[in-house]
This record gives sequence, C-alpha cells and structure tokens, in this order.
Amino acid sequence: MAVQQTNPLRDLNDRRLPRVAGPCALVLFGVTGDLSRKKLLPAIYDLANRGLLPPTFALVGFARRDWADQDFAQIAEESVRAHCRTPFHEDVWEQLSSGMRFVAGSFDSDEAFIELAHVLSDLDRVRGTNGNHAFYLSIPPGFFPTVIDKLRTSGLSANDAGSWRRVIVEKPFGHDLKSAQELNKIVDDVFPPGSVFRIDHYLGKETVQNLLAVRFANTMFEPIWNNKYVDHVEITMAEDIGIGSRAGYYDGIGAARDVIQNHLLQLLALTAMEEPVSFNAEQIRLEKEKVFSAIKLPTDLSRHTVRGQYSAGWQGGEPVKGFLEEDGIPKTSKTDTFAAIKLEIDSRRWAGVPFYLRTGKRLGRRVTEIAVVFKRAPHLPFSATDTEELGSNALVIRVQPDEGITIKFGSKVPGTQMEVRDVTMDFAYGDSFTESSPEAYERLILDVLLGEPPLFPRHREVEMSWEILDPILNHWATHGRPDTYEAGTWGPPEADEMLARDGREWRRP
Amino acid sequence: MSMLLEGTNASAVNAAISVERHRLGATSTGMVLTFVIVTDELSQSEATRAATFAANQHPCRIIVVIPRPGRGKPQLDAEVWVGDREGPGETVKLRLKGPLARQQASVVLPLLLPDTPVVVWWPADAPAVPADDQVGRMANRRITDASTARRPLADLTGRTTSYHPGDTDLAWTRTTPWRSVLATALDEPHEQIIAATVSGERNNPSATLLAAWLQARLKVPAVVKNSRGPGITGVVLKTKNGDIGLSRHDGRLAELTRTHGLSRKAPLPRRELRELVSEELRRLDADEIYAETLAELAKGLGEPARKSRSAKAPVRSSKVAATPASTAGAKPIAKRSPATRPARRKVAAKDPSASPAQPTTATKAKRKASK
Ligand SMILES: NC(=O)c1ccc[n+]([C@@H]2O[C@H](COP(=O)([O-])OP(=O)(O)OC[C@H]3O[C@@H](n4cnc5c(N)ncnc54)[C@H](OP(=O)(O)O)[C@@H]3O)[C@@H](O)[C@H]2O)c1
Repeated sequence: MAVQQTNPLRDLNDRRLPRVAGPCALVLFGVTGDLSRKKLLPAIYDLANRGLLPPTFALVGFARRDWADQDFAQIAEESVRAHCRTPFHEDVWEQLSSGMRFVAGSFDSDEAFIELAHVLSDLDRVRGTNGNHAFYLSIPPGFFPTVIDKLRTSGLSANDAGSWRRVIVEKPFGHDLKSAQELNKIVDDVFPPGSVFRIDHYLGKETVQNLLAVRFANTMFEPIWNNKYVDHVEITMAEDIGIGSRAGYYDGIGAARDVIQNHLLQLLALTAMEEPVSFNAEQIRLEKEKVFSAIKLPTDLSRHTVRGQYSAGWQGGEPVKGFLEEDGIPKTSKTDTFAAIKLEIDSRRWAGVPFYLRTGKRLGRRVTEIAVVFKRAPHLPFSATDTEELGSNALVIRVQPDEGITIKFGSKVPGTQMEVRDVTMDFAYGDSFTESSPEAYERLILDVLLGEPPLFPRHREVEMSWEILDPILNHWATHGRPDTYEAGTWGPPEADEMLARDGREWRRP
Repeated sequence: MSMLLEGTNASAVNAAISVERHRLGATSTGMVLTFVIVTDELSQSEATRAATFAANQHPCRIIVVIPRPGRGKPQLDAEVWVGDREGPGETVKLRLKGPLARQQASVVLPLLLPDTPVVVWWPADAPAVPADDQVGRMANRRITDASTARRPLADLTGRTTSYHPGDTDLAWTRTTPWRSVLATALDEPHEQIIAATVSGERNNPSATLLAAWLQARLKVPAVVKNSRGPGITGVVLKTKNGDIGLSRHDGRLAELTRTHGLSRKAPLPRRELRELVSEELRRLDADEIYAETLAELAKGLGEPARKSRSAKAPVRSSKVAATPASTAGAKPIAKRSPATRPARRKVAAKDPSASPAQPTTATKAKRKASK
C-alpha cells in the first residue's frame, strides 16, 4: 500500500489550524475520583468540543466498579455536564462517548490488566487509535508502583515502532527526596524519561507561559531583572479554603510539600532562570535545573522559615473551624497549613536577592502571584515629606485570579505641591476566564497527547526540589510545633517577623 | 450608557471618550488594537455586536464608520460607549454624512489608538483593492467578506489580484474547521490522493477557497460541486484505492468516511460571525496560506497544479471546462453565471454565519437607490 508519510495539508505557516492530537487512547486510572470528575473528564470533553481531539480518540476508564461501558459513559456525562466550560453538545458527546470503554478491577488484579490490554487492542482495530496509548494515573500515590508494575507485566507499557506509550502522573511526586527517587525509579524503569509527564497545573496557566514571553520577548524588563535593581522576590500561593474533605491526604503532607515543592519552586525557577537557548522542553529544563542547583538555604532555618496552622476564625464573613478541629485531623497534628521560606540563589544575577515563598490555606483571599520588588531609588531629589508615601516599584505577575500583570510605581499627586505616591498599572489580555481560553488541564492533556512537553517538570527537577525542601522539613520535624494563625488572616505573626528581620515586609497580595 | 454627539468632529469625539473613561474611574484599560468597521446601516448593528464579542478576548477600541453619502452639507454624528456591560473596550459609531462620506480617513486617523495595530473590516461592500483604500491603507489587517458580495465568486476572483499581505476574507476564515478536520484525517496513513471535490451551496466562496487550498497543498486537481447546502457540505479526496470523504449536511456534525475503513464523526459546527471575527483578531501577521490559496485559484481549479504555472489569468470558464474526466459530474465553479444567483437568503436567515450582513435582495436594491 502506497502510504503517504508527511501530511501535505499541514504547514508550519498555517497558523490558523489548531494543533490536533493524533489518533490515541487515553486510559484513566481512578476515574471515580475527585480530580477525574471535576477536572479531567470535563477537560477531555472541552478539548473534543474545540475540535482538538481526533475523531479516533478513545477513552478507557479503570476503577473498582461493576460498570458496563454505558454506565461509565453515563457517569462521565454527568461529570461533564456539571463541570464543562464550553457548551454541552449532544453530537460531540455522542462521538466522544462512542469511543469510551470501561474496565472493572482493582489495581493489583492481573485479570483486569489483561482485560485492559484486550480493550486497547480492540480500540486500535475498531476505533483506529493506532497503538498510541496514554495512561493517566489519577490515583493515590501509594498505588503508583502497583499500577506501573502491572502496566509492565501485562505488556501494556511496551510499544511497537511507530506508536507511543505515555504515562501521566499527578502530584505529589513523593513526600521527600528518598520517596521521590524511589518513585522515579519505578516509573523510569518502565517508561523512558520523555514519555513521563508530571502534571503541575500551574505550568499550564496562561500567565505562567506569559512570564517567559514577558521576560524574553521584551527589552525593557531583562536589563533590570537582577540584583542591581531587584530588592527581593515574593512568590505567594494563598487559598481561602481549608482542607475540606481531604484530611486523609493532607494530614502529614502539609503546605510545604503540597505546594512549595512543586508549584512555588517551579515558579521561582521560571522567574529566576537565564534565557534558554531556544524555547523547547530540553533547553528550558536545563535552565531550570541550573537555578535549582544554585539555590542556597538560610543557615539558620529557625529564623528564616515559618510554618503555621490555622485556628478557628472568620473567613470572608463566615465563621470557620480551626485545622485541629477539622474532621479527620488528630488533635496533635503538626501538619503545616502555612509555610513561608527564604531562599537565595548563588549566581551573578541573583546573589544577595532573597526569594520569599509562602503558601497557606485559610488565608485572606485566594491569590497566586509572583512579585518582583525593586530597590528604592538610590537618591531622591525631593524632600523626605514629598516621598513619604512612595514605596518600592514592583512588577507583579498575577497567576490567579485575574490573570495579568501589574506594575507599581511612584507618580506625582496632581496639585501644586510635590507629593509622590504609589500607583498601579494593570494589564490583562482580554478575558482569560471565558470559555475561549482553554483551562490549564485542557492544555496539559493536549500537550501530553501531542507529545510536546515544554513545561512538564522532569525527574531531575523533582529530586532537586526535594533536596531543597528536605532540610527544612527535617528541621521542622525536630523543632517544636507550627505557629498558629487565625483563619482569614495572612498567616502567623512569625511570618511578618521573618521578613522584618531582613528589614522588609510582605506585600498584601 | 452612550453619549451622542451631533455635528461634531474627531477631537470632540476623543474628548468624549476620555470624559466617559474618567467618569467610570477607568484609565486606559490595556487595549491591544483599534478595530475599524466600515459598514452601512443595515450591517452595522450585527457587525458591532460581533466585534464587541471579539473585544472580550482582544480588548480594543471599536470604530464603526457608517458613510451616509448624499447631497446635504458634510456632517459627523457620533455615538460613544465606554466600558459597556457587553465588553471592556470603547465603541464609537460615526455617521459620515454628505461629502464627508468619502473622507473616512480624515475622521478615523485621529481616533486610532497610539502605537497598536489597526484592523479594518468591511462586513459588506469591501473596496476592490482593500490595501489601496483610504482606511485600508492605515490598517495592518484588512478583513473582507466575499460571501456578502452581490457576486461572491466574482468578488473572490477579484481578491486574487487585489491581494496584499495583511488581507484576509471571512470566506477563508469559514474554511478553518474544515481544513483542520481534513488535516487530521490525513494525519493517519492513507493512499496517495489523486483528486479532490468540494461540495457546497451554489456561489459559496468558502467552498471555492477550500478547493483551491486542497489543489495547492495536494497538487491534484480540485473542483467544486454544487449542493443544497448549508454552506460547505462535503469533501471527497479520491485515492487510487477508494475515497476519503467528509460530509456535513446539518451544519453541525461531520462524518468522516473511508472506502476501506471506519467511519467517524467529528464536530464541525458552522460558526457565528463573532467567532469568525475573533479568529481574525488572533493573529495579525500576513496569512501566507491564504495568499497561496488565492494564487492557486487564479491559476484555475481543476487543473493539475504542476502544469499551468505560467497561467496568471483568473479563473476562466473555458479553462475550467477542460476539467479532466476524473471529476466527471462535478461542475466547474466558474461556469456558473453569477447572474443566476439563487435565493440563498432562505438558508442564511436560519444560520447567522451563512452570510452575516447580507441584506435581502429587496433591501439591497432600496439601498442602492438611496446611494
Ligand atoms: N483532587 C485534586 O484537586 C487534586 C489536585 C492535584 C493532584 N491530585 C492528585 O491526583 C490524584 C487523584 O486525586 P483525587 O483527588 O481524584 O483522589 P481520590 O478522589 O481519592 O480518587 C482516587 C481514585 O483512586 C481510586 N482508588 C483508590 N484506592 C483504590 C484501590 N485500592 N483500588 C482501586 N482504585 C482505588 C478511587 O476509586 P474508588 O472510587 O473506588 O475509591 C478513585 O477513583 C492523586 O494523586 C492526587 O494527589 C488531586
């Protein structure tokens, strides 16, 4: 058969044509879980609705339920209808659901994996998925080894030439360096590094991708992006919610492991890294790794790190429980629901510029941002009273909500007197929250199916970030208890003291 | 809330915008472009709505220019909206009366936002050479819409010679989903394609462009066949061993078939004007593929592309009539006389994307009379 190799209808210059995934099947482990129902299934539908999945696309659900394919499609439809961002169309759903299959079984059942292999080869034949299979592990991390091992023994992880296998794992990527290494080994023994996709949904966000554009496509920011002009950098991810029903997951993990190890260190790396040689996965990863390897911990961890636990209080006008009163949390829990740490980067660009990272639950409001705070002008040709209200200039990348950029600078107050005060200038590119722009999970799933991993953290980055965090976690484990903070505030007073020691204060995000 | 200014001028309009902005406490809200719409009373309201929708994704100042030629004295009337509930940007509607109707640039130029790109869109009655038009000259991107022309295919033929980088046509935009599904179909292994046929409603310029694109990319003869619509209804890619077909009869869902393979469905909804306009604002660089497609169209459909390189003339019926027998049954597009335009309004009324701003024949005639 004279089979055509390149596709003449595709052209790099044809920028109107969206990148559409090739023929493939996605196997979703843990399809009954919270993440699958609220994020993954709706994201898959939205992708289909945007025409970004091929008609051959197939979805296989795997869970310990006695379901037939139709039952699965039915449950999936409910999730999709409840959480999709684009309008629900019967036609699209019909096409998508005609490629949906369900495999019942537990993660350690050989029969279930044999059945899965059977279903997949059947899909290759009748649906045309061409032997391309992605495995999404939306399951408690304790089951990773079991599932990965079963994928190997059942032969599902092996691909023929011309087809691919990919595996997608969710955080947490371990709970310390050792467990992360074990996990990486398990995954890497079965899948080559380029086929492992670690999901960090922050990296799928428009603004985070825009950070690289802002830094490297312009000339006006990069010259001041260094210790000559930058005083310090604050990276904040604050949630207003408590732990909700996730006590089982959260207790013993805490804010630092849950958020700093992955999201905040990744944001730090993208903020601090040098310009990559080119905008591809390999080059960006190299630059991020350089940042991680140059990170220096404070010598006195007691003075420059803080952890906290929320106590009962009022959150946005409603009374809320304290962490220790939450269902499923032991009264003696030492889990941190707030963490703030100071890091420095030993490089010519950043020496002497502290990076303050903080995260927490039940804080003032839900916000994630990167604030680059600049030094004050070395000399002000105004009288001291003229500039009393002048703070530091700042450039803030607003990751969520209200994705965009804010610049803060001094401006004269109109009037005959010379008085300079802070003003802000905001930029938001249109309405990033309408259905028009894909949600982070949509983008990430599509990137996996396309095999384009520009921002997925690799094995080495995960281990390096644990190397940074482990000493802090060990220090905390051996030194007392978390400080407390009232729910609805910006964390314990100790966090303010931590910055005050350096002669600084947190910005109110 | 809008502000009405009668017998005004551009600097008063600028002042009004800034007063409105301050009243809302909003300073300049990070606008990324100026969107000029040159249109008539019939099309203006739908076009403005579509532009306002697009402005949600691309915050912009919308300037609607409505020429009202006539005998009287020159007069400029303006309506100004800022920070409307429907969109973040600013909208200015300008009615240019009397001799002023022909001096559009003099009013538009002072209202352009500094430094950012300018896009101009003629929802109907686009100039013959958009890049030479007085407003077109100021723009980085010029959007026409052959489907609203009185003779859509002749209009398209005109575009093959009037093209300048930065030009684009909504008839081309309408082909994007088709092109995407076809490209996806050819991502899979397939036999060599030897001919292509596009079926579409009579006089549908998108069907013609799709055929021209296939002919240019696949280097095989492509022709257009008439169907009952709506819009484009199908594509057949002929291989030595069976066909790859894509058909859509309800304007929503398409079926992809292969002679020796599975058939599948793909969503392929006809899009509304606002979605087309949003797509246009996404990229402002020259659309090389559109240029290439127009060039192919100029060589004539149904001709193996390798041959007639030298043929510069636009589609001529004599040439197209010589279509190879392989596409028997397919009517070459240019053979149809535009004069025999059917009443396509019926379909268009149901589907807003069919011909966005097209007046009925009757109103069109009336409008002509009033000019
Ligand atoms: N939820 C989030 O927002 C979020 C955010 C970031 C990362 N993550 C990560 O994403 C993954 C999934 O999160 P999730 O919140 O969806 O978890 P979840 O609600 O606890 O769901 C876990 C899934 O695993 C299945 N499962 C658990 N134990 C099993 C066993 N012994 N045998 C077979 N199936 C078993 C569950 O099936 P049953 O219904 O039968 O119990 C369920 O489908 C986790 O790695 C989590 O850390 C979640």
